[in-house]
Order: sequence, then structure tokens, then C-alpha cells
Amino acid sequence: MFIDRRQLLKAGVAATAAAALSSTARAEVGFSPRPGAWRNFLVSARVAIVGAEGQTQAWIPLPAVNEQDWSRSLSSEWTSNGRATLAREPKYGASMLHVEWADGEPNPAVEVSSRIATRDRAVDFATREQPAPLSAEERELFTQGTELIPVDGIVKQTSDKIIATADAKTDIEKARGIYEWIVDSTFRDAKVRGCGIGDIASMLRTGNLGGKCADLNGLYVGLARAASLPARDLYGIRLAPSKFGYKSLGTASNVISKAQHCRAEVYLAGFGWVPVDAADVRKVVLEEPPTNLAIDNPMVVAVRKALFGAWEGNWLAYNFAHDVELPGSHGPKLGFFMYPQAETAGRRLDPLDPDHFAYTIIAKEISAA
Amino acid sequence: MDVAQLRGHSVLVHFFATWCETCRVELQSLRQLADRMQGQLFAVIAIDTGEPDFRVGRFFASQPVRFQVLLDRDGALGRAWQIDALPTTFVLDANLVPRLVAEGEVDWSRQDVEEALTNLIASTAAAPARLPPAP
Repeated sequence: MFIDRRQLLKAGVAATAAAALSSTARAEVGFSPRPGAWRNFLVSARVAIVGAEGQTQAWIPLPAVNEQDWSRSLSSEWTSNGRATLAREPKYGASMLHVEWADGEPNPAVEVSSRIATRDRAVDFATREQPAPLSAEERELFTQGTELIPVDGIVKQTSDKIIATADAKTDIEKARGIYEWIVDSTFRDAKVRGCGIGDIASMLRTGNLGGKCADLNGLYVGLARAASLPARDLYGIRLAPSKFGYKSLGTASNVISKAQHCRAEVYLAGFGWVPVDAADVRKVVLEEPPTNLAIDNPMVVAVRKALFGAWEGNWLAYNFAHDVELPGSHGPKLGFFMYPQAETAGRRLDPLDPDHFAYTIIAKEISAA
Repeated sequence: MDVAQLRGHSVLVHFFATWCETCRVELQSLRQLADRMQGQLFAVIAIDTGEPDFRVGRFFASQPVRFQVLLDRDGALGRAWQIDALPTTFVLDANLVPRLVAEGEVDWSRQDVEEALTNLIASTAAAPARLPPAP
């Protein structure tokens, strides 16, 4: 027998090189989000800038997605030793708290509490409904390219090739074909910082299809838009453990400072906005214990089947904004706005550097107000 | 590839993917093992599960190995072997009967591991399987 690094295994597998192994019953696994009761959460963020110099300001994303079936952004309140104002990004409606501190404020800090309600979603593909149609402006907004998500060039070529290979004719076939391609062709790369960058053209040009949610779901959105399917990324944060027992698809505690996650949607006639999350399928592959699961592992198969058309209501969506200009900022536009942002002495801080930009985000499930 | 061609050798069958961090580490350990075991009745076959050809090609272009690398493009082989997690390794004896299995990474530089392989090679070389009777 071998003694591997993790467990002692026995010899004597009863199989030949060509035949299937004798079957052993596998544990039943399930992942089946279904719309049910609304869940209410209080999400509190405390932000502090370490080593502040000169002019210091911060921007905290606030929940701003309101969708009848699954997302209610209810209210936010805050306290700060700076001047805090509510701001709204004009193109996508992303909401944020903009805080400016007096020059030389040694301990700039702000606390924000937001109340939201959310619940599971699941599209019944067997039943066509009459969802609210997209306006021409919405269709234009959600099929156009962004700085990191172009819809021409290599993105368009790849989208066309995926659709041709899948022989996808209808919009739902195209949307699903792109989803399956993302699940099969990409991988979650643990070495990528935060949620990734979302530069999908570079991913396709280099052939490095590894990343995190902003990369993999951004790629989904780009490929879908290139196929003229309205699609959007939703940038948010996980709030609670998965009630289906998937450790990788929920939070480990009520401290969610590093639990940012983005999901995607595609708009399909007869179904409206359809939830899609190929990135979470790859997260299960990489991180669900015992980790590094094969794509045919029942735990992966279950989420793969569900995450085109459904997702669990243990996550809140801040916004679906791209190319975000932070009001009053001296720094560049953001590809997406999912983390607190700050500047001091005219320099944009790294939201993934806790030594200089400290924030704690806590989620608490509460009863409805 | 027909594994039957390797009858007479102990065969280490290793399922992996290039996105799997522990797999990448173990492949280097396997490369060194294969080099040490050269000349013995021992073969290594690495099977990449479910990745595009170009990604696997690029990986091994920068980290070449002497052993065979096969592509299980549609996952059929992984399903047939009931691979649930990566890496997973089987060691077949000279009659191509699986005798050892490891789910998870293995340190192939360990002396006890190499001894187990050497013993397996020696035991099945001493007792070759009977050929099936002529029809």
C-alpha cells in the first residue's frame, strides 16, 4: 500500500485496466435551489485607512439591486469621522457611500450597515412565461462591450466557434452551450488575487483560462453578449453557508470580509433574466472537500446541472456596474465595484492589502423588519 | 493507446489535471520516479482529465516528461475508473491487475513508496500470468 500525504489507502482494487471498477454506492448529493421564504440579512462593514496622509477618501459599495423575485436592497445607514454622502454611478445605478476626511485626519474610519432580503432562484425551463421585456436601452446596455469585456475580435470569434461546435440554434441553446464550454474549458486558479481582474480578451489570447469569478463569469458575459444575448455580471458578496452542505459555496463564519463573489445572468425570451454561475462550478471542483474533484464527481455534476438557471439565496448583489468612475477620485476607473475602495495622498489603495486598508464585513441573518 | 501492450510491465496510471496545484507538484515527483525506474519493467501513464489539448501541450512543453501523457478529453476514462478527485493513481501489476491505489498526492521520492513499487515489479515478474488457452 502507499502512504500518501493525506490518508492511508488499501490495496486490492478489483478491476482491470479497461473495465469499470465494481460500483460502490456513492453518497446522495443534491443542490437544488428553489424559491422559498425570503431571508433577511444585516451586513455591517467597518473600514479604516492605515497610514492616511493628506486628502483621504473612501467608497463603499452599497446593495443596489432590486429584482422582484429574489433581491431587495432595503436600507443603509452609516457613521463616520469624515463627511459621508450617498452617491450613485449614473450608467448602471451602482450605489456607494463616498466618504471624505479632513486633510491629515490620522484615523479615518466609517461604519456602514445595510439591510437586504434575498431568496433562492430557479427558472422552470419547461414553462415559458411573460417576463418583463427588456427595453431597447437595456438590451443595448447588456449587449455592449466594456473595457475589460469586449464583444468583438477574439471574444466574438470564440463565441461563434462555441455556438457552432455546440450546434446551438436557439438562444437558450447558445446560452447553455457557452455555460458548458466555460465549465469544461476554464479552471479556478487559487493563485489569482481576490476575485480576479476580468480581462477576458487577454484570457482568450493567452489561452490562460484560469481565474476567479470576475474572470470566469466575466468570460461568460462577454461570450454571451458577443452572441447578441443580453448578459450581465452581478458583483456581490456571500452571506451565509450553503444549506446544501457545500462548504465551497458559502461562508465559513459571519465574517465575510473576503467572501466577495460575482455571479452572472443571461436574458432569455420567455424566461427573463436567468441566473448562471459557471465560476462556482469550478470553485466546487477545486475547493469542495476533499478538493480537486473530477468533473464527473457527483458533487460537481449536481451543481453543474443547477447553476444554469438557479442559484442559492445566500449572497447579495451590490450592482452590475462596469467601468466605474468613483466620484472625486484621482485614480482609474474600476472594471467592477465589489470591494471597498480608498485613496490617500492621491494614491489608490489596494483593497486586498489589509495592512494599509483594513475593513471587516460581517453578515447576520435577521428576521424581517 | 492500448494498455494491454504494456503487459509484462507494472504500470502506474495517474489521473491529473494541469489546473490542480497538487497534481502539478506530483507530476514533477513522478517524472523523477520514472527517471529512476528506467530500465525496470515499469511504465508510467499520465492521463489528463477533461482539459483542452493546447493547455496540456503548453504545460508539458515547459515541463517535459519521459512518460506517456494521454488525454481523456470527454472524461469517459475517468468515469470508467470512477475517478472522484485528482490526483488519483493506480498501480497495475504485470498482468495489468490494479494492485495499489492512492487518492490524493503521493510523495514518490519516499523510500517506502519506491520499495513497494520495486516489490510489486519483482513479485509479478517472478510469476507471470498464464496465457489464455488457444481458442
